[in-house]
Amino acid sequence: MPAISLCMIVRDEEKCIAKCLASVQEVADEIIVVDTGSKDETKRIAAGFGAKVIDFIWNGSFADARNASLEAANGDWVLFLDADEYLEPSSHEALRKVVAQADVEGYYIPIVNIYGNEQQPEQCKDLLFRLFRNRSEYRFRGIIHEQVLTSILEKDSKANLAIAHDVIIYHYGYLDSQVQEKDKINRNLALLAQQIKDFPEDKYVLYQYGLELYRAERYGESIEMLKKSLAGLKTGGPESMYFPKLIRLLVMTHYQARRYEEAVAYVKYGLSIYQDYADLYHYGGLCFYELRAYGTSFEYFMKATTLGEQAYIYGSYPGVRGFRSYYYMGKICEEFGSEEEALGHYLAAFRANPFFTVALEQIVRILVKGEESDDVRIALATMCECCTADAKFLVGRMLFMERSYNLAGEYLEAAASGGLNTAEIAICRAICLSQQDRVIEALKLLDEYINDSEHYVRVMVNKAIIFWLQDNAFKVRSITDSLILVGLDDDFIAIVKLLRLRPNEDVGFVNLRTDSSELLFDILLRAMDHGDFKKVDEILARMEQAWIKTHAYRLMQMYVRHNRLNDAERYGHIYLVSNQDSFDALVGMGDIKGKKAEYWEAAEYYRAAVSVAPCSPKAYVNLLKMYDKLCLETLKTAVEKHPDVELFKAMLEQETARQ
Amino acid sequence: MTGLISIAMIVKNEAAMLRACLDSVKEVADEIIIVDTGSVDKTIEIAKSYTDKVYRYSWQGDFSAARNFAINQCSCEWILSVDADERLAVGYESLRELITSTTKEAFILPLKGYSGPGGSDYNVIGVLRLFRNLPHYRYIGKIHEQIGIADQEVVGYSEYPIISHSYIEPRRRQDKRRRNMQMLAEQLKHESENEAFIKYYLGCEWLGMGRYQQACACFRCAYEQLDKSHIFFRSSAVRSLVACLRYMGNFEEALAICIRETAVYPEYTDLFFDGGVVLEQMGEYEAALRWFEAAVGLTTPLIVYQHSNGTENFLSQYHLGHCCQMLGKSEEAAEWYEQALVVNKNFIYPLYGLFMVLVTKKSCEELVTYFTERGYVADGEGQRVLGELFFASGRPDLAIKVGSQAERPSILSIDLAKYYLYSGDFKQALTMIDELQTRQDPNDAVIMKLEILCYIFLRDLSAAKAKCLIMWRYEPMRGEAMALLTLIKRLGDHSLKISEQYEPVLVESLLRIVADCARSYGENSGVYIEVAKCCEEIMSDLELGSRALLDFWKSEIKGIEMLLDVRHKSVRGLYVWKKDGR
Repeated sequence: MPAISLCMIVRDEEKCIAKCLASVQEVADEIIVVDTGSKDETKRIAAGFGAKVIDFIWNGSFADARNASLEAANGDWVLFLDADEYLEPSSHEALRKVVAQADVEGYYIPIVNIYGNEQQPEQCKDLLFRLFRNRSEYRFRGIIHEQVLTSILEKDSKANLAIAHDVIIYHYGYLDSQVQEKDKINRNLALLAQQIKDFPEDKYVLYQYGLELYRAERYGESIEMLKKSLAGLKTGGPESMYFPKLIRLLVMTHYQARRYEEAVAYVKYGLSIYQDYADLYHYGGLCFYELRAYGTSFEYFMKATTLGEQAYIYGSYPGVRGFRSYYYMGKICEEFGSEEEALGHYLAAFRANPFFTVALEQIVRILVKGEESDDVRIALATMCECCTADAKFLVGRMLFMERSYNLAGEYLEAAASGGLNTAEIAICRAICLSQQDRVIEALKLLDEYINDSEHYVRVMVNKAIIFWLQDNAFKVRSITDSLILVGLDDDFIAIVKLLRLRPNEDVGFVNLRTDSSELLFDILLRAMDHGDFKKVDEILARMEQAWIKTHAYRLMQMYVRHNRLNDAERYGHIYLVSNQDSFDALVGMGDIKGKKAEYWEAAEYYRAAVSVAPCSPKAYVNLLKMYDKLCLETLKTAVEKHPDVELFKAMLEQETARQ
Repeated sequence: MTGLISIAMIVKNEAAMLRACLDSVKEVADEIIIVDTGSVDKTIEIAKSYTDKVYRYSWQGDFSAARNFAINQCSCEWILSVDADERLAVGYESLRELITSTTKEAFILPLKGYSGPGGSDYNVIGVLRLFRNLPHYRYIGKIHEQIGIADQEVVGYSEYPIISHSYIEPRRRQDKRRRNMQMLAEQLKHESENEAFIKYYLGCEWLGMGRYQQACACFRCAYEQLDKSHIFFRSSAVRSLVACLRYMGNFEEALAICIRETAVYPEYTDLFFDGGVVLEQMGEYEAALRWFEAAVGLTTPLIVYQHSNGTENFLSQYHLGHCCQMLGKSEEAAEWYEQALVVNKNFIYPLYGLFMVLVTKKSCEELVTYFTERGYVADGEGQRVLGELFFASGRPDLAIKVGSQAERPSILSIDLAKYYLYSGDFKQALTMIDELQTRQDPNDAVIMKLEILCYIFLRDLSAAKAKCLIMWRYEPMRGEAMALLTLIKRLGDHSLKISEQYEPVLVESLLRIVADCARSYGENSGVYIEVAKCCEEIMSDLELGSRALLDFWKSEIKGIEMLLDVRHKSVRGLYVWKKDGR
C-alpha cells in the first residue's frame, strides 16, 4: 500500500484548516504543514491533527515554500491541498486506488470551485495537477502559480499522467464571505511580472499573467500575453491542460476590449477543437450580439443551452448553459420587439437561477407594462415564491420603478410587515399610497421620518407633491416655504416653486440643467399617473423652449404611455426638428401614428428609422407590422366593396384571427 | 506552291459581314479564295474588291463539297478556313510564326462565340481551321463539316490567333436552326458512322428551341458514343446534357453525370461550375459551395474544352456569394460578390447581392461612399443598377447622388427624372422631362406619365389634366391616359367611370404609382401619401384592384423579410408571423 503525504503551505488559516485536515485524516499517512508566519491558531490546530509543522521564513516565492514541504515528505505519493479546500469524503477509496497504479507518475484532480453567496452557491469545475510521486527530482518552480509539472517532464518527457476522475476536491475560497481583496490582484501582478522576466517563454506563466491582467481590466496587455502563450502550444500535451481555458480567456479579453470580430475568430478556433465547450458558444453568442448578428447570436446561445455536463478541464462557468444564455435569448427577442417571446426566455432564466434579479426586473417590466391587472398580480405571485421580506422588497422596488403603484404598494407593505423598516421603504410606500389617494396613510408614513435629517428634504418634497396633487394650495405653500429656507441649489428651488404657482402668477420661464430635471419628470409622471393632465400642461407651459426642445423626446414618451397621442406627436415633432436622425424618436413617432391608425404615415417614419440605423431590426419589424395593418385595411375595404367575392371574406377571417 | 497562307471561304448573301471579315485577314493572307454558293446581294462585288479569286459554285446541299471545292483552288502551303460572319480577332501576327517551323499538320484554334450583345457573354471552343494544303486533308460531312484527320498526334493546339464569331439576332438564329435541322436529319440517314456528332448538333438545335426532352435524348446519345479522343465534342455534349437535365428538373441525374465526369476530367473548370449550379438549384448550398470553390481553384481550361467565360472566376464567385447569402453567411457572401466584381465589373448581378447583404449593416449614406470608393458607380451598368437599388430602398435622393458621382453620367435620364420626382424636387424633374422630350422622344409614354405625375404632385390638376388629354390622343397610350385621368378626377373629388377594357391598365398603372410613392423620400411626404391613398381608393373599387393591392402589400412584406433573413434567419420566427406560404 503506497503511502500518501499531504503537503500544505499556510498562513493565518485558523478558520478553514480544520475542515481541510479532517477531510484527509483517514487517507493521509502523514501531514506536512509549512507555515510561512501565522499569527493565529493555525499551527496549534494543525498539530492537533497530527501534522508535522515546519516554520518557513517567507521569501516571496511560493515554489520555495512548497519545495520545503516536499523535502520533508516521506510518503510514496504527495497530495497538495490549500487550507480553503477539502477532500470529498467519498474520494478516499478512489484515492487509494489511483496511487496503487504502477505506471502513472502523477494525477490531475477534479476540483469544484464554490462561489457566490451562501444561500445559493454556484459551482465551477476545474482540473488541477495535485497528486504525484514523491521523487527528489520533482520540485516546484515559479514565484507564483508555481508548477511542478515542468520538472516531472524534464525527467521523462513521456511520463504517464492521468486524471483521477473519482477523486474530488472542494474549494470554497471564493465564496462571498471569503472573497479576495483588490490588492491581491496587484500583488499577483507584481509577482507575475517578476516571473515573466525570469521565464519569458514559459507559456503557463504567460497565461497566468494574462489572466491576472484581465482581472485588473488591462485588456490590451492581457491579449498580448495570452497570444504569446498560445503561440505554438500543442493540444494533447500535458502542459496544455489549460488550453481550453486559455482560448476562452482570449475570447473574453477581446470581448471586453470590444474587439468582437477577433473574439469570434478565437471562438471558432476553439470550437474546432472542443466541439462541446459551452462557454465558447455562450461567449460567441455575446460577441455576435454586440455585432448585431442576432440570428447567429441566438443560434450560439441556443446551442449552449443544449450541451451536456461540461468536462472538468473546461472550467465551465455556471449559467452559460442556463440562465445567462436564456437571458440573452430574451434580449434578442426584444430587439425584434417580441416581448412575449422575450418573457418566456427571461422566465426560464429566472427559474434556472432565482437569484438572478436582472431577469426578474425584465419580467416585471414586461408583465406590468403600465397595467395593473389581477392577471399580473397572480403571475407575479406564482413566479416568485417570495417568502422573505428582502425578496418582497426587491420585487416591490422593481414594481415601483415601473410605476405600478398598487402592486408595488402591496409588496412593499408586505416587506415592511416582514420586518424591513427603512426610510426608503416608507417613502416609497407613501408615494404608492398617495397615488391611490390614500393621503392620510401616506402622510403618516412620511411624518415618521420628518425629523430624520438624512431624509428631511425627500420627505418634505414628497409631502409637497402629495398636497399639490390634492389641490391643497395652502399646505403646498407652507411646506415649500420650509424647503426654500433649507437653501438648496437653484434648480431645485425653481422646481419647488413650480409646485406653488398660482394660475396667473408669472415668474418668467424656467430652465433646468439636465441632471436636475429628473425631479421634475418624477413630478410630471406622478401627476399623469394620477390623471392630472391639466397640471402637467400648466407646468410645461412655464418651461423655457430650450428645455422643452432638449427633453421633447422624453415628454413624447410620457404622453404615449398615457395614450395622449396628439400631445405626444407634438413633442415628437419638436424633438425631430433638431434631431432629425434620432432613431428612437423616429420609431416613437411611427408608433404614435400606428396607434392613430395612420398607417402610411407610420410606415414613413419607420422607413426613415431604418435608413438611420439599418442594423437594428426593430424598425424593420415595426414596418412589417404596418404593412400587415395596411393589408388588413385593404381587406376590410375589399369585403365592404365586393361582398360577393368569397375569397376576400375568407382572407379577412384568416387575417383577423392571426392579428 | 506559292505563298504560305491561303484563306478559303464559302459565302452566300453575306454583304453585311464580309468586309469586316476580309479586313481582318488581308494582312496575313497570301491569297484569298472566295466561293459563292448563290448570293443575290452585293456579296460578290465586295469579294472582288479584295481578291480576284472569286468563284461561283452551284449549291448541292453539301457544305463539305463546297468547301473542298474552295480548298482545291488554294495554292499556298497552309489553308485557313473562316466564315464571313467571323473575324480573325487577335494575334494574326503570330499565325505565321505558328506554322513556320512546326512539325504539325494542322492546328485547333479558339473560336469565340458571343451569346449576347454585351462584351462578356461568350463561349470558347476549339476548332480545326488551319491545316496543310495536302490532298488527303479534305472536309467530310454534309453539314458541320470536319477536316478528316485520323492521327490526332499531328494536330496541334494554339491559343492564338483567336477567331471571333459575332452575335446573331434571335430571329436569324431561328431560321438558321430550322434549316440546319433539316440538313442534319438528312445527313443522319446517310452517314450513320457519324451519328454521335450529328446527334450532338441536333441536340444543340433542339436546345436552342427550348425542347429539352428531345435535346436530352440527342445529347445522351452523343455522350454515350463519344470517347476521350474527341474531347471537345464530348465536353460540349456533357455540359449540354447536364444543362438539359437541369432545365427538366432532373437534378439527381445531372449531378451524377457531373460527379462522374469531374473524376475523369479533374481540370475541367466548367464541369465543377455546372455541378455547383445543380446543387444550388436543389437548395444544397453547403455542397454547392464546395463545387464552386473547386471551380475557382482551377484555371481557364484548355481550349479543347468548351468553356463559358467566367466559370473559373467571376461566375463561380457570384454563385459562391449567393450560396453564402442563402446560408446566412453574409460577410463571406459580400467578399465573394466583391471578388466577382473586381474580375468583371460589367457582370452586375453580384451588385444586387452585395447591396442586399450590406444594406442591413451600413446606412444608405455609407453605402454610397462604399460603392463609389470601389468604382462601381463609375460606369453605365453599375450606376444604373445601384440607382435602381437605392430607389427600391426608399432613397431616391441617393439614387440621384449615385448618378452625379459618375465620370460620365449615364443613368438613363428617365430614371433620373423619376428619382427627382420622388425626392420632392419637382422643379428639377420637370426640367429633365422637358429635356428628354426635346432631345429624345416627345411621344414616349413613360416620360409623359412622369410629367403628369409631376403636375399632380404639384397640385396643379388642370395642367395635369391638359397633358393627360394630349396623351389620350395616341391610341396605344389611351389606357394609361385614362388611368391618370381617373386619378386626377378623384383627387378633385369627382369620379370617373371607365370601360372594362381599361381596367387592367388602370390597376397596373395606379399600382405602380402606389409602389413608387411608398419609396418616396424627403419633406413632401404628405403629397405622396395623399396620392397613394387616392390610388388605393380607386383600385379598391375594382375587384381586380383589390387583389392587386393585397398582392402588393404581401410582396412588400416578403421583401422586408428577405432583408432580415440576410442576418437573422435563425430567428425568423420572431418576424415572420404567417404560417401559410409567406
